[in-house]
Amino acid sequence: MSIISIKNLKKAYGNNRVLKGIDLEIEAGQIIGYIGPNGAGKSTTVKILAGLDHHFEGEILINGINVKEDPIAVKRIIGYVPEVSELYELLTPMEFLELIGNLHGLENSVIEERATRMLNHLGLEKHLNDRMETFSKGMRQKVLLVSGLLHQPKIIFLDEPLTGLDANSVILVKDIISQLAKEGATIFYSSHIMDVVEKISDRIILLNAGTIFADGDFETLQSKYGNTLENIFSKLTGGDLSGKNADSFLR
Amino acid sequence: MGVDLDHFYAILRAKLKVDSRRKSGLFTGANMKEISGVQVIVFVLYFFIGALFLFFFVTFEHTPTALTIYFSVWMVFLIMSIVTDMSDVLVDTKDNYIILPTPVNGATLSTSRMVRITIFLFKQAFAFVLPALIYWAINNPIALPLFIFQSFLVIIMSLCLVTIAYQIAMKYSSPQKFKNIINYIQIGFTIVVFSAYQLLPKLIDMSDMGSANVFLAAYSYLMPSAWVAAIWEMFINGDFSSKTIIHVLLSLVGTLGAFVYISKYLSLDYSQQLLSIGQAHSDSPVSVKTEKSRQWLDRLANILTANKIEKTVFKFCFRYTGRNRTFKLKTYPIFGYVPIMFSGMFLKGEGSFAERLIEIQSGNHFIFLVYGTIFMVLVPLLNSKYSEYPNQSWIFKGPPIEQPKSIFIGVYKAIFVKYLIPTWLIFLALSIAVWGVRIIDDFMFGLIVLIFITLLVYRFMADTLPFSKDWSEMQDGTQTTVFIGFSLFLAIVGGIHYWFMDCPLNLLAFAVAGIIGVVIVWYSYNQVTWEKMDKAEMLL
Repeated sequence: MSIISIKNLKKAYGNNRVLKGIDLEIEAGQIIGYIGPNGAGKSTTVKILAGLDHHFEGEILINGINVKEDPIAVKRIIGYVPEVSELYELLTPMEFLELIGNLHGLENSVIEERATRMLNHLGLEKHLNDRMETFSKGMRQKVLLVSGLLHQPKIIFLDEPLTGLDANSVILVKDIISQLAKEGATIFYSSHIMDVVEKISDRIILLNAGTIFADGDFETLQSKYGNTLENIFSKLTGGDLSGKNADSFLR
Repeated sequence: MGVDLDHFYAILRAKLKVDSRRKSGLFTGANMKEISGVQVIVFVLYFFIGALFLFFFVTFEHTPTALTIYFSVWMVFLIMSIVTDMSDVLVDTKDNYIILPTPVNGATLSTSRMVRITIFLFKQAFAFVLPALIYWAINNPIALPLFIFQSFLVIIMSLCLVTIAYQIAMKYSSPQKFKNIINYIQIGFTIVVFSAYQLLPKLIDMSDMGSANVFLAAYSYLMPSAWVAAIWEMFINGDFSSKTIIHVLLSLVGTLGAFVYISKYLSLDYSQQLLSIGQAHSDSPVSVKTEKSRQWLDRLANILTANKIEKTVFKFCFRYTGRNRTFKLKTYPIFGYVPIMFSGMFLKGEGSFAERLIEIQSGNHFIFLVYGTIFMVLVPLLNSKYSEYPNQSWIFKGPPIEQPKSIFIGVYKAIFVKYLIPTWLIFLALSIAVWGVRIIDDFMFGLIVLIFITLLVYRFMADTLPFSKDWSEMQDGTQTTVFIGFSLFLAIVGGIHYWFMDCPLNLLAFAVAGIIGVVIVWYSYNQVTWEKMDKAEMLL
């Protein structure tokens, strides 16, 4: 049985059809790179999968649980790192993670141990008890990452998780994702940083204008469409800048 | 009700911690050092207003009637406070990304939100209701616990009314239009509540006020404040008539029922709708009206501004204040308050409308309109400091602008022209229709005074770039405080004007003094430099 099953997923905001019938079956332990241009519907898909948005058509089962019928049960077993870096900035990382951990039913001692370990690994050891209002974008993103992994979920949805991170942190997060997958977690990872997706994903799904344009591992896509993922992406999505070049942009 | 208590306490603990660290709040417990002089002034103001309203208790023989009016006024303040100062809590989209992905159900989230706002309201309520608590402790100590319970009900009821209005609006409007609809509903709601409580009592014959009994009138069934007051009628006055029982049931069941309805039935859709607020593509693209609208704004800016920077900022401010929902929410209600209070004049008094009109025409009530318009400038100016995207103000620091004066003058002119002038002209026209042309010089004098005062107030704000502070930095209760504070100030200024109204030469002398004052304050803006602004920023 697929751990994530998406059947004919459709989503519209009024007349704006964002997702036009997505069908996907995802096996456990896979790292899925979900890529697409701006406005393709990536974040919308992730929000629906994470149980945040119930207004959609189609059927989504996560570990056999229907997302629409029992979103709470789904949320117990998933982790989610949003695209939007929303935090309660007036809290410290430890206070914020205590809140998230409590909502996932973790004991405070467990939260403290895990949060401290994870934040230290991400270079925030000196800021555990500083209010986040002065944090840079990258620092906030690290706290968000920890919040999505704190309760050790087996299914993880990451929406642009590398936003604002420095090069070392990007490497670390890539390793974390790979390690999680080795331990059996399923990672659904939405991004438009092509080289990272290319390197870590077992399977790449290219979404454009609400429809899946390509689905397969990198080697398969490469043999079909082009040499790098960036080229494949550009070829399949056409791109808003097709036919235009830097020279005409500047002059 | 379906509330998970562990989740509820976890969320409330975190949210109260956030609230206690906001630069606001009275009696913040662990953050006592955050109590500032401003907050003491806010407390004193609310205490003073609460003390004024003890008037009802000493005037009305029938205590539940006094309580009805007291609670009515208080509910207006509470609802205004919730709509203007706590709307960002009620429509907090952050929860969708932080709380909603966790296994928390809608009832728990909704209840925690309501309790959080209730706690905020209690802090504000304490200052207002303290004089009444002291009054009842002295005059009827046995009734004091009941009064405390009634006050609690009033707070919950006010919150429920606003929340239900918001949630129903969200449930039945499309996500695309929701943002705009909720914005105007919030504005309209405040004005409707304000007007109801301003105008309804004027429709009542108050000539025999002392012996009035609101429960004899059928409209008491429509007044939530009367429902709460009926608890006193039952338990202190011993009235167990069917009318009283119905009122009491309405207050208890109505409040509890509303709370349950919100928590259990509306909360999930509410959260879903909140999600769509934050979606980038939830709205169809909004295209700006084209060449014509750009041209007239351009022409206006060319006429009214002195240089390119001023012109640019003028146009920016004109557009931004018209498109920013939070700004509109916090600003537009004021445009309803003044006309409503003025129209109350025509409903007051005995005799037919024509007779009352003749009586009004012989008086000088237009003074109220002359000075009431100050809020049409003051509130937008105050709000022009804030934005939900404060970092976007880098656009003022990035370019080579030599003197920041032009930025502030551009904002002032935009707000003055956009908000004051149309209102002033309408009020002038209405006043001429009622009082004739004799009032024109008073309006002109009043305009000079308004320009002087608002320029001076804004000068004190000219250490912060426009739209450069987050709304969360605005002191809680600021809007209400400005309204109350300046109402008292204008009563004094209006009183002086009234005194000199029949002496045109004195008025002229004051007008000349006012113009000199305007010129002095205008040139003081030259003292605003980037260095001084940086220093002020560091001090903050």
